[in-house]
Amino acid sequence: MKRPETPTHLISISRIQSAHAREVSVLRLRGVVRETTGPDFRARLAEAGARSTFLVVDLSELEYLNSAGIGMLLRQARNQERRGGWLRLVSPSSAVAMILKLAGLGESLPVHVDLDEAVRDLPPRAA
Amino acid sequence: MALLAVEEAVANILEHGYRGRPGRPFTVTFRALPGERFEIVLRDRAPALDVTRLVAGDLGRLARSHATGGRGLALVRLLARELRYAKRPGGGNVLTLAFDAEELSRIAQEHTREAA
Repeated sequence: MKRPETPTHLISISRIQSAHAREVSVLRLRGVVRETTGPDFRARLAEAGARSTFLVVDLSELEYLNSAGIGMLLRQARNQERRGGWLRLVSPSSAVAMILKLAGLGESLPVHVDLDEAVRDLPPRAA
Repeated sequence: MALLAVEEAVANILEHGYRGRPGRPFTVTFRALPGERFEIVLRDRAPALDVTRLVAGDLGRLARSHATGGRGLALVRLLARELRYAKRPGGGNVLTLAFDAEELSRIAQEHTREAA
């Protein structure tokens, strides 16, 4: 396994409209989540989560995620659910996909292939 | 893969052993063994705590719950063939993580296949 060196960098927090006019925030990060970058990661999650009840975390450019980072994702997911929303993960790199698999995240935090798939079943906005 | 286990074990020392205080010492030693085996030895000066006696989170149960902690040690146990603990003379801990490269690649393959 290649040892990642770059710290976590925020690429963007963007908002998209789903087919049902629901607003979704998309958090994209690059680099690694480990001991030193964990607090920043948690702050970015909270920031993006505060913008929308539906939050997608794009993992495609994240090279590494430790178990503390996984705990932060789960905690944020619980926050979103408490507000009637969710947190979903999309397109992890192969290294991160394996870490998620090893940690057995399957049921509590599903991973989607891409953004389209992640937002496909969004409930329609109440009229 | 072994790095993943080592990193979780080190994170454990920093967070629980040293309670996040900076500048505390620990060393990581790599030892190659015959065959495809190797060991990584972590030595610290934190209060004595035998982590091999702690009950790690059960990964299967954790997967079904929203529990946010307990994964680090569970990952270490999953990846390392053996964990050995000793108190360090003069205070501190010596934790040895024994790995088998063949076993690691088997675990990697299993989890890649499931992911596909």
